[in-house]
Amino acid sequence: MSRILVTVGMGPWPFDRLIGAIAPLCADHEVFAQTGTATVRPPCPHRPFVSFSELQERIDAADVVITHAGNTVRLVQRAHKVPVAVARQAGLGEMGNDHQVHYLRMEEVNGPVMAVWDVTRLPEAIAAHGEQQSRLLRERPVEPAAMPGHIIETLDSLCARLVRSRDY
Amino acid sequence: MGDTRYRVLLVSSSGGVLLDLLALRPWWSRHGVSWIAVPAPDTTALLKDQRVHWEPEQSARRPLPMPAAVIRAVGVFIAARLVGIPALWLETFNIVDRPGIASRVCGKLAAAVLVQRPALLASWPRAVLLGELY
Repeated sequence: MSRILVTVGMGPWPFDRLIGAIAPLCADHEVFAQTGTATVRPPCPHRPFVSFSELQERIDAADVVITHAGNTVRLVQRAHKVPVAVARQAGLGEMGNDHQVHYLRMEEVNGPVMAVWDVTRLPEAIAAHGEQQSRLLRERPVEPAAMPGHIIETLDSLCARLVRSRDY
Repeated sequence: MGDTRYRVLLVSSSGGVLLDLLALRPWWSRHGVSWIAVPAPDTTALLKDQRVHWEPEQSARRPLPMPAAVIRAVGVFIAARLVGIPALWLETFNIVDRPGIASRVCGKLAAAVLVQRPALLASWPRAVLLGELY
């Protein structure tokens, strides 16, 4: 039995396809789902939204995180874990565009992520997660985030140049 | 690092955009900051100590030519141009190739486009690489 966190982000589009697909996992694992605006209710503890601090605590405490292919993918990777990610699709009314699809297609080739394109295969992904996580963390290190000093220097320099030149 | 203190207006929806802007806190916390934000569970919680103009999502009476969030963002960029203030577009982390409609429109209106991936430097003539924000 694994401790599984499911999260679909804070956006206004329901992601019923993912939330509806976690039911088989709820029977065999300890699952908590952040469901957003989903119109289906999973058979496990769930809430529409959680605070950012709670989300981070739940990521740290989880054995596996199943997430939409939003920025949460990187948050999970920064916690030295490999997320199981499902991309929202515009054609299914899950997003305004397909940038999650493009992102996940790239990330599944280069990054430490397990992409799931057919949500009926989530149980298989969870079963394989432990072995896959060890391999992917070893083979695909994540680039470090920008340092605060770099952010400050870059933006101060940019703003000074723009204000001075009035080239905008 | 400069000593100039700017008045900075940050415009955000909920979700990843908000996290990206909050990750810029090391910079904007040194300046005078106010926000325009959509009320949502994450924005109301994470911006509770900030000076915020809340702009509710409005339901359209007739179909809009583009999403309301895009219309809001474009309006801000046009207003900035009219009053002569440089406006920056921050490309979110999980945009990897084809920009969405908001990026395409606002990126063209922006004085600079802040990107988190080196590969996106070629996408915009005024791109500036910040690196991954978190």
